[in-house]
Amino acid sequence: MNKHHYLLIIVGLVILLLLVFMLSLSWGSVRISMGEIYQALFANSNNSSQAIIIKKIRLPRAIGAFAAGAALAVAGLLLQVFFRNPIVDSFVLGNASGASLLVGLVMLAGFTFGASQLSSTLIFLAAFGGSLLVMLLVMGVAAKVDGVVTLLIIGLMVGYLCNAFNSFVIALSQKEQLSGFVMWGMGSLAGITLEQAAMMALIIVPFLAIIFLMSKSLNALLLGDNYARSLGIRTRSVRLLVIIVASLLSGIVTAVTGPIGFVGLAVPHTARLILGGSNNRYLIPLTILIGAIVTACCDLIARTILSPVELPLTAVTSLFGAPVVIYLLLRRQQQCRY
Amino acid sequence: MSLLKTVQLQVGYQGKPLIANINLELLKGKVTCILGPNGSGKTTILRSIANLLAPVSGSIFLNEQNLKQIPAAELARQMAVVLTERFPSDFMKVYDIVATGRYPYTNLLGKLSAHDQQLIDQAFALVNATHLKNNYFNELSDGEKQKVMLALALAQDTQVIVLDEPTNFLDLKHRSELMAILKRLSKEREISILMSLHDVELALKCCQNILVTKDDQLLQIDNDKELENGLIAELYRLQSADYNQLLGGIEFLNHEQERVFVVAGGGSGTPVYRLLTKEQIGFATGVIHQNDLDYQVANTMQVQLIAETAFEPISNATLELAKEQLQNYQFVIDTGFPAGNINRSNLDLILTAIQKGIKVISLRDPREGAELYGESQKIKYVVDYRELLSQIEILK
Repeated sequence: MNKHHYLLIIVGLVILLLLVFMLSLSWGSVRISMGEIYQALFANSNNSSQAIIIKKIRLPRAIGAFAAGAALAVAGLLLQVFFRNPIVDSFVLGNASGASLLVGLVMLAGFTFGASQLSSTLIFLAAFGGSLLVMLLVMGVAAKVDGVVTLLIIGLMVGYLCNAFNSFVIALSQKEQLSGFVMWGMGSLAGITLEQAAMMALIIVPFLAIIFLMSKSLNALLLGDNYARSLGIRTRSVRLLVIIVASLLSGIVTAVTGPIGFVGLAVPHTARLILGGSNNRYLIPLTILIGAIVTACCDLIARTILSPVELPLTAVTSLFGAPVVIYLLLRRQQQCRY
Repeated sequence: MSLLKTVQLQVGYQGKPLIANINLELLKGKVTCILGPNGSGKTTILRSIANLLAPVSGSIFLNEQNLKQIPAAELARQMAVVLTERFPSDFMKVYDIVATGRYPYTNLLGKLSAHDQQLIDQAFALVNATHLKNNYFNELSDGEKQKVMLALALAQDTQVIVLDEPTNFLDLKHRSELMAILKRLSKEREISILMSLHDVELALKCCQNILVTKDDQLLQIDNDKELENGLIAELYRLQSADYNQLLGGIEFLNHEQERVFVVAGGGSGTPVYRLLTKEQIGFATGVIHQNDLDYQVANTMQVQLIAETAFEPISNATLELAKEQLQNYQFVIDTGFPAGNINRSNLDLILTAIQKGIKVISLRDPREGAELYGESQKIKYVVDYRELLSQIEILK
């Protein structure tokens, strides 16, 4: 693919992104026209019900979906480079499981002590704390072991451990308490506030920039640590940075939306297919855009297709993601002749 | 002029030295190789020199500067490596891989300047891989992959290139092509190349400076004499074959019970010897001049050999000895050797065999045979080695 071709694709994706943004604002239980959207966004003293729907519900969701999608996709890409394995995403490091565990514990404890409704801030803190704890654990191990596969297995095991504790928590919960937790565990952008969405975006964007600036080191890492070192890359610090950034990104997203599967796995591959290469300098912008578009589309589908019933986001992303991953695995099998 | 030098270097893992007292020197424009069997520590030495493994003790100097004190980015501009390790390469473009060679020179984002692109193109051209530029890496054959990794190292534009077993898994064509490229590069660009090899022939024929790993030492081979005295056989613990320095290769030993006597000379015996050894048929041979190719081959195979001094006519004593010996064998093979002034007596050996009633198989043209030996029932003419083999099977 030459430069012009690439730029054309980027421009196309940006247009698609804007289109999805407009659709996210327009579609839903109530159809809102473009004119009204403009009014709601830019006319200050507009307090019609449409304006409230736009400002309080749909705009935060659209921003949240973009930010979450971009962050999860890039975190997946980072981990794929880190583990030199195309079928990993932030779930393999046990981030989501750690978040779920702490959220579950907080919910159980909260209801046990008589709270009828838990504040979203508390859930946010629990989820973020959970993924941070797992990240610290995995990083502690990462500093000690050299083998990438070992680390991968440790991440998976930590995930299983958290899931086991999760099952205890669920078994101990009352039926009524359970549904909230189960819904949270399937990931959703419902109920996201503008503050949450804006905060998430503000944290994520600088990290996306940092990752883009790391693309050279990431490319070298694709050749393995020894080649990367012979090219003058400080592999240890780059690896540490990669793990920290990937964990932070997925931690933030999980804290706000609950675990969203498959975006981190399927989007980077889709981007590679489109790019026809894996040069991270070009791949990262593509991954960011496709991640944002896909996640926003999935959210749009989740809340409109069976409206007013809202589907869990992971159900929709999995519908998109699983076929992509299967296709890629089959393709990989054909190519792995050496 | 030496570009890289090691002083009392000890290499190994976890502080345990595997090879000690490494004092090697890489000269500008020369190809140096470390020769040794698999698992003898060649890779460990190379990894240490390439700064991928911390030495147990001792120091390495690159352009008179201690390797430890050279910053990583600067080192990448002075030394490139080609390793044996493979990486999962789905969706990786060959051009992108070679372009990483310019990373030590580019800015944070790795943007390639026109100069960078020119050096990358040059690297592709040097390894004859320009046509592979736009391929995916995992579509390539092993030989092509090796060329691409070499192109990456060349794009790094360094004075020293370290290659670990660059000829592994390569076929004859790619192996010789790769070595030719390396030889040419070292001379044209005045760079030093250090590589590990386990292929003795390649090492002796391509590398100007040879070191061998023996036990826990790295020995400098100063002249070819050292290789003649069974060093290679000892080094590789060869048991069923021996290395011949002049032949530049190995011959399998033949310690089978002798049943055939081969009358040969002028190189005509060599294919017959190899055929018999392959079929595990023991043989003796004579009379062979010491300056004959057949002498080298038979001698390396360690078969019974009646020899004559180089360029001297076969003496009567030697001929009598051969005639005596001849009678102990089931049959005689006449390789169709050219008969000249100094080895004409070998024809007498065939005649003696016929007289004594020993069956003779001859590779000679029957008409020529009739002229030399007269008509005889005892002699059987064969046209090629295959027919020779089937005759042997019958006689056995």
